[in-house]
Amino acid sequence: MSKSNEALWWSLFSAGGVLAALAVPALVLSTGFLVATSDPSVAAERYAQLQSVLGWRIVQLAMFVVVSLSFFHCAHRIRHTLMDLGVRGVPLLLMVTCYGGALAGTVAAAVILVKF
Amino acid sequence: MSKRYHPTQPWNWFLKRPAYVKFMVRELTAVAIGLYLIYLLRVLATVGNGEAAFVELAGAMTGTRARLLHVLALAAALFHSVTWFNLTPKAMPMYRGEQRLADPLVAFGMGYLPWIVVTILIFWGVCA
Repeated sequence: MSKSNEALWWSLFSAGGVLAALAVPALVLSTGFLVATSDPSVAAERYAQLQSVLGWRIVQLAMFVVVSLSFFHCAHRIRHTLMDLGVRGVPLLLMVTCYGGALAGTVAAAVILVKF
Repeated sequence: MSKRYHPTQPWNWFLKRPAYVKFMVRELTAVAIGLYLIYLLRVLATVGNGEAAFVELAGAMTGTRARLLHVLALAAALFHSVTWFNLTPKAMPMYRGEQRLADPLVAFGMGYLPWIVVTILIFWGVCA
């Protein structure tokens, strides 16, 4: 029997599940309702605040960890849901697509956050 | 012909029972959250691209489509949070001595309480 790396995916799923559960609702409310404004002076204030808070290394790191692990959580859930819906016979393709997507999201998050 | 056993079940098996439908809705929150995270990265990238770009995006976010998508993302995110925290005591039972702590207590201490703290921290970071 070949060595399985399922334990790794399940632990990323679980860590990302916790972080997404804790942070994503507040993030959605932030981008959708706190940051959204058609008043340019309010938007300028929000911009200054976001620039300042995202300038902190610890905030960048926290955002990176939350976004990356949440992506892996989603990837794992989507992979298993597709299997439950009958997508079988292409396990490697499914893994590469799902976890590859999460990896791409992780790289994008790092590139975006490190610029602050 | 292959003699291997091929179990078959229709793709819509989860429509058989309400509990299965709830399971599938819970699993599909991952799609909404994943798409939202991509959008969040776009917002962060825009903040990095200067004030003019950000002001324009903030204005676009007040549009009907953006509002509707945020409401859908919020519904999915809340469903994920609540189902996740409620499962925490089952996945990770906690004991004091020999006695198992009540599920609602563990869900509150390990889930809902930290959730409130993180939410306040994020709002404070965005608005303070």
